[in-house]
Amino acid sequence: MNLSSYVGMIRQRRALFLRIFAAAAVVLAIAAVFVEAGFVATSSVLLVAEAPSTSAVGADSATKPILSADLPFLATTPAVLAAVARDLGLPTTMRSLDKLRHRIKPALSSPPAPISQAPGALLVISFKGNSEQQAIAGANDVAHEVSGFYRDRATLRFRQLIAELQTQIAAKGAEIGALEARIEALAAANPFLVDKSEETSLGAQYEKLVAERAELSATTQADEAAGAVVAGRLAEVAPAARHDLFENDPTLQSLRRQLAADYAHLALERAQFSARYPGLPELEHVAAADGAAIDLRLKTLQRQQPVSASLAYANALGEANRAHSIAASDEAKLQALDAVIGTTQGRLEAARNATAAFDDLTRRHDVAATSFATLTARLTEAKGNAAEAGSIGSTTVLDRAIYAKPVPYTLPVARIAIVLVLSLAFAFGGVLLADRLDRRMRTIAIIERIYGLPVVATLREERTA
Amino acid sequence: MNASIENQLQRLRVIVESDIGATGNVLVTAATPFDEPDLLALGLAFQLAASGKRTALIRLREDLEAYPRPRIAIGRRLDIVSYASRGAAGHETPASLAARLLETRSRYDYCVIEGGVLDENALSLEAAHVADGVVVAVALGRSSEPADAELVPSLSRVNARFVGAVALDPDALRAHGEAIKSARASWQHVYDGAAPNSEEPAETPHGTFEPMAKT
Repeated sequence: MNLSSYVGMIRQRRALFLRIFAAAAVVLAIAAVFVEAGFVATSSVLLVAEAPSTSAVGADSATKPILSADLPFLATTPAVLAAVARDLGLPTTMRSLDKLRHRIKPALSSPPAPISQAPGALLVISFKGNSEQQAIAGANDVAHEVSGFYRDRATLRFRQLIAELQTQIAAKGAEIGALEARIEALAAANPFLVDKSEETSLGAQYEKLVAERAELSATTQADEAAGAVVAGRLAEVAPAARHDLFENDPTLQSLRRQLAADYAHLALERAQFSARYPGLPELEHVAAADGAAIDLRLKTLQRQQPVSASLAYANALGEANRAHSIAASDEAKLQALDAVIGTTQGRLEAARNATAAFDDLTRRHDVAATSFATLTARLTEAKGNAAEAGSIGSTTVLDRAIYAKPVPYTLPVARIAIVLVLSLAFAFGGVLLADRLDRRMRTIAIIERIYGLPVVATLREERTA
Repeated sequence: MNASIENQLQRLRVIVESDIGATGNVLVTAATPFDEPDLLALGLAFQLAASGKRTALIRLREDLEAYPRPRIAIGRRLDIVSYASRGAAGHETPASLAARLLETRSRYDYCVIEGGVLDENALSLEAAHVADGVVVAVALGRSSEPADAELVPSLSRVNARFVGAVALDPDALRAHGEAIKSARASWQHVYDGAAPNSEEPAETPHGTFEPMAKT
């Protein structure tokens, strides 16, 4: 169906259109009266808009106190609506809460000066109920829930701050505990950290060892000088002593005599015989063997200390050995003392490092303890502020509803317009529906469609202009 | 009489003559009694007679007991003849209807057959078979019924030849029909001077009609 045919249908059924429109308008107007009917009760809640002094804690944007402009909104918050619905025995579905929201009309007013000198507001709550009792109960319940919700909101920032401070205090306490454990462990490993005398004795011991080493070093140098003197004396007497050793050695003397005899015999033989005498080589060989034996003996004697040959040498050698022994002893003592000094120095260095670490831990512990004390003070203050903000004196139901007034019937322009528009919609729809449901043969086209025959003539009154 | 209805009936008569011819017989029937087929047949016969045609309005009745004067000559050019299927001595059967119609037709230019409601009259279907054309009366503003949809197929099964449907206002047509009937007496006197509803054999320009016996 196009628009022109629809308009034609409306014209054709204008009587029906007007009847439907009139009936719908009457029904909707009556329905509007019943919708509007009810009872309204009013209660008042005194709210302190600005929360108690917050000093320096918790003053961030997320936990700002509720502004005055937001106060009417409190009456229709989901939390308040849900609580009121539960108290009134209404369902808590979204649809039901939305209907309940339209029953509540909050308005902001200034509290009378004699009632409150504090900066605040008076929230007047109107509740519309189906009955007088329901209106009164609703108004009082909304006021009660709003005051509770406001207290909750007023203390929210302090509760958040308290929770945050408690978290920080717990963390700081854990940090202090960890520092104390480390300090105790360090003190157990380094007793001198607690008993300073030990560290002092360790230093004195080190100093003493250093002094001993210096003294021992001087002694060693003196002994080495004495040893050098003795060694020089030994070197002086050594050639004479070795000469005496050679000269007093009977074996060497015997070999020298044997060599002389052999050379004499060889000279004799050479003198007596020609060079081609067969006995000469043997003699020469014997003489050479003697010479070799002498050389061997000389070497053997060379390796011997000429102690037995020279008393002076023996005395010098004995002094030299004693001096050497003294020097070796001094060196050993010096090395032992160096080892002790090194150990002591290591201990002393470790003690100094431990002391530095101990001092650092102690300093950090002191800082943490100071911070802990500050946080504890802030927590105490926040708890006090929360208690003050949530005190019953700052928010209270000032005026409870004790009666409800019937809602006077008014038909505002908007509602009249809605009724007219809906009536028109019903009329247009009703005419369309009636046309769809009408089985009467009102037109030639319908007759031709039903019969399948052309309509060759029409017999009816012809209207003349 | 309503002038506009009169004019519309004249136009219908012209359409029928142009469709069937200068002479013939036409059946007027309908699906329901509310469609007033009899009034339409009367009006059409009246117009044919007024146009100079020798016209017979043939009424097909189930029972002539309700119509004790079966044959009425109401004018020189319009006679009303009633056939009955039962309840009378000379009743017609579907088999004899065709011969009777031919016999009547031979003495008139046009025979307008009041078929009435198709389902209620056993002779209507046979008349539709032999008629030169069928006009279906349909009342405007009446709710459609199953009989409406069955009418044309029923007639088609007997090879009826359709002139078309006539959409009519029953109230207007009824008022017009009443005007025709009220004027009928003077009309008769004007044309043949015969007494209306005579039980004597009627002598008409179209022949002599024997009255049917009362039962």
